[in-house]
Amino acid sequence: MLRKLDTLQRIEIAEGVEIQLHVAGPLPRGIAFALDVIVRGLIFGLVMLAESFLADLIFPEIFADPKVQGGMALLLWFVLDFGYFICFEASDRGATPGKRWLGLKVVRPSGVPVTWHQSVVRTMLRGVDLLPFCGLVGFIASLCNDRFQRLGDLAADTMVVYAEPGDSKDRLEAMDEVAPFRPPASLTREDQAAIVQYADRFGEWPAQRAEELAGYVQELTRVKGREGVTRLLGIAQWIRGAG
Amino acid sequence: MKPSAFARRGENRWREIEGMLDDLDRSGGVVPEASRIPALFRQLCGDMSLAQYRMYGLKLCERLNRLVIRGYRHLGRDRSNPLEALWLGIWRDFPVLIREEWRLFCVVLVCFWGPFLGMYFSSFHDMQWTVSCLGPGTMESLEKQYGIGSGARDYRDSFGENFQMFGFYIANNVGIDFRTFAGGILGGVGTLFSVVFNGLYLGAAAGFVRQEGDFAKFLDWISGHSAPEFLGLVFSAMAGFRLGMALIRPGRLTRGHALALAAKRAVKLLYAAAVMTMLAAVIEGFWSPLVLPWEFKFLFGALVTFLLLAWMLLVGKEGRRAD
Repeated sequence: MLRKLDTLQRIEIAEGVEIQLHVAGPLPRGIAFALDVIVRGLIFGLVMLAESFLADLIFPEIFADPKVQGGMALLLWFVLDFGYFICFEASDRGATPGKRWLGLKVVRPSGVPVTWHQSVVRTMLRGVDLLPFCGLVGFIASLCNDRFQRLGDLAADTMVVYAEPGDSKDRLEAMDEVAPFRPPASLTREDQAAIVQYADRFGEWPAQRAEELAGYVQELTRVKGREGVTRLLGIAQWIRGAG
Repeated sequence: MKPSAFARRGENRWREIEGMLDDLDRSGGVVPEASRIPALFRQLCGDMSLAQYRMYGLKLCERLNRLVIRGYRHLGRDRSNPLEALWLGIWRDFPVLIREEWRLFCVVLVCFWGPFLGMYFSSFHDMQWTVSCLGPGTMESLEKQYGIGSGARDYRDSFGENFQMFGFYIANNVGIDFRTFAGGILGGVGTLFSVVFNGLYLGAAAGFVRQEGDFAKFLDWISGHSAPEFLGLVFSAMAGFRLGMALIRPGRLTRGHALALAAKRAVKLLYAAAVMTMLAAVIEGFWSPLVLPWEFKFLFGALVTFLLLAWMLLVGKEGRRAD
């Protein structure tokens, strides 16, 4: 069930192990895109400004011609329009400046950086994904699959993930002091996983919620309230083999 | 084994590969002892699956997961050079791919020339369709450029003007190629629209000039760049149809898988289209406005067409394409 609820994508890589990638949803991606549009505009403005200053110094008879400058502006805009996304996403970082600020990254489903071809495809199809306004097509497409892939991602076989997946804070210092407790009945692997995850996430909820959750397995812990929580954590410790 | 003992035992190895990956990130892919990375990485993978299986807790598993992802990114990275791929494409892959896709080529030809010729010949009987297709603005500019009284050959004369138009041709025409391709993802409908529309529009323009303007001047102008420009549209439309076909008829694959496979082929056709259209922009920007005897310009146009046909039909060898 967790697999369906979570934005974590489990991917088996060539070495036979599963890695977990944290897929990014439409909101951070939309913000990143808006930032990219601004950055791209700034680059365009700066280069054209620099060009107009330099034009008077180098070959003014060619570069100071407003028609030449108009042509350069068109060329530059064309190169930036497509090249900005293609080059940044195919680079080693795999992210445009906007994506970097939001901690995102474009990867192949196996988690490795995209190729140039993939970068080109997803950039070309961005226009369709932005139709008819505010990226509605891409938004709907990304809701129709569990990797939040827009049409360009589907065609290019790419996805956008958080560059630094899951880094839980060290909130379990106190855990080490919990004495391991042998569960009174044998547990299936799935049960064990659920209890260990309870311990992993312990501290994310208020105490009442932790007690309520522990209350659901009272058959196992045999005690109520705070003690039940401690005992459940103890079982988790026992499963991990700590003690 | 207790989680703490496991972490103690692995710590040095993990530190080592972490340091190497830091160096790799900084140096852009070159570190002296890089040859040890694969072995360390395999060990790391083993550690991670052990930690996951034994449920050593989120924190340890997340740390190993991050390390594995980082290592995998470096090991699985694509180091190919895009310019080299383009060069090889021009001299080997693109023509082979175009020949393999000859059916799509024919489909695009029909979709373009049908509307073109229909529109062109309709102007011989009645200009009504032509007029409504072009609109007053276009007719005015065509009149200005190719009208009977527009002067024998007063094309652009300054470098600045040529360069400005060159920039416009690149931005506009290559942009049209890209959109024609992108429209393919809508089941090919966008691509079909683009091809048919271009056929109708250009047919109407040709018919209009034939009836109302100086047709010889028109031919003189388009003779040089029309072949690469047309092929650019054809190749981008083939690429778009390739995408669309994957959605309409995915065969035994899922639609998503078929689409991803089709895009791999289509993107090469798109590169070929971009090369053609850029070539056309250079010719249209700097050669077509030259005032030369029309025999010269026609000969040049014939030469370009011949070379492009030879490229399409002869370059590259079937079965030796590197996918």
